[in-house]
Amino acid sequence: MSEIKYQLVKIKVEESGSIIKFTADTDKKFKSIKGVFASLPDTEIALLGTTLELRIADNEIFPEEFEIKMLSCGQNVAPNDRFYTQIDEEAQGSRIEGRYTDGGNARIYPYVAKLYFLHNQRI
Amino acid sequence: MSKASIKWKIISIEISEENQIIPIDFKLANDIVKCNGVYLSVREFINTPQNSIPQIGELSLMFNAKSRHPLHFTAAYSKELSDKKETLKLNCDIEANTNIAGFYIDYAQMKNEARIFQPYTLSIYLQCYSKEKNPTK
Repeated sequence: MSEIKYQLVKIKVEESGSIIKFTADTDKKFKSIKGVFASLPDTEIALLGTTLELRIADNEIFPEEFEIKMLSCGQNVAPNDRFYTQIDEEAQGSRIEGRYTDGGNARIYPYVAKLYFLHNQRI
Repeated sequence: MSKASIKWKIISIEISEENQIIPIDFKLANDIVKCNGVYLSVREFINTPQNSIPQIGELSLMFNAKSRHPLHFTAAYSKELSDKKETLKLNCDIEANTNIAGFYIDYAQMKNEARIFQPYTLSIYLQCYSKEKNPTK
């Protein structure tokens, strides 16, 4: 079984309706990105209307208007099953580029949204 | 050498009146070769008296210049977001330069505790595959 790494990307959301562009680099020592999971430190309602546009290695993963609730699930789901795993993109230092748009439903601002990227195949 | 990759296509429908019928006519990009699945999502939080409504409307989708009719299904609404989101399988091959046609009929179920209809946006997520020329992957 190939080695796995989880990379955490934090997105600070200052106010309702914020649009945050972010970039990150994948791990140079891993060959591929195989999954992503999103979590917010608030109630599930905060997920509603929030969108994530995402590109990895210059390939579109999620288009504009893609709701982040599609990448999230509750504690009742086993950790290994929480990830969206229909990704197979090159890691090895490739660029992650995203645009996070808050849906305005969080109870408290600011908050920090978290994206977890699943790497595998250590080189 | 080419490899198929997942492309999400999102059709958003705004339902502003109860029992509204909304026609759908959506152009897919030419590089889309297959529609593998569909997921229906209400974007807003609607404060309905029930935690979930099993049928808020019905959706009909036809592909390939209406020669394929893979989906006639009901949409649901739930306040609970804890389940993992899985698409409903379609496995429909797509012919180039064809539109997706269809309609959505609202069932007048999205009402608050005062029984007043609440407008909502239904997002239709199509999990498609495109052919990409990328021999490095």
